[in-house]
Amino acid sequence: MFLGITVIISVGLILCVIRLLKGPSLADRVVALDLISALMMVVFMDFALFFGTEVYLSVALAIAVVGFLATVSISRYMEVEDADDE
Amino acid sequence: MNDWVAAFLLLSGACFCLVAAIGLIRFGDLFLRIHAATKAGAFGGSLVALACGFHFGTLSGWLHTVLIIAFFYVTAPVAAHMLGRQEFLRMKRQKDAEQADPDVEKD
Repeated sequence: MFLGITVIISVGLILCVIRLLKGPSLADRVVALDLISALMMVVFMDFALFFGTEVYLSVALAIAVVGFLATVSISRYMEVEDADDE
Repeated sequence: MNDWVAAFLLLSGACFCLVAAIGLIRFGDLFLRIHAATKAGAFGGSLVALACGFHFGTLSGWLHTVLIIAFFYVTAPVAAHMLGRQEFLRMKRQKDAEQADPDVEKD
């Protein structure tokens, strides 16, 4: 059961890495990284169920709290960079 | 009973995450990719968190579940909104530049 879940999530991670490598623009790569962090959160919750300890849930909680900061800061950076080019 | 509910939630959440990744790889536009990755990814993650709550059943487990869902559902749309806003402003700026000077090359 948990092995099947891990296989499903791994296929999703591989698809995200493909998009990360060939994404035409920087924003596409950022979307791929955002989804990779979400999928890593799911992987850690799967670990918590597999090993039967709640410790891994704290890891998932930390990823859920700080995972969006990278996306927000990179998009702000791109916005300012574009405005400076004018 | 709880184990069956947890198994169902876990499987459907993982399938939603897979659908999000497939949408990320198949869609042809940045806005469509943001739509697929954010909505389906956040929903799948929340379903898996609910599965953790049903599986452990303790106060600590449910607290972690509720906090994960709350933070993830608050922060994921913020990130998607910032990315979409940046892309929209970039397209608008490009269009304005083309209208002002039709001879300028598109980058």
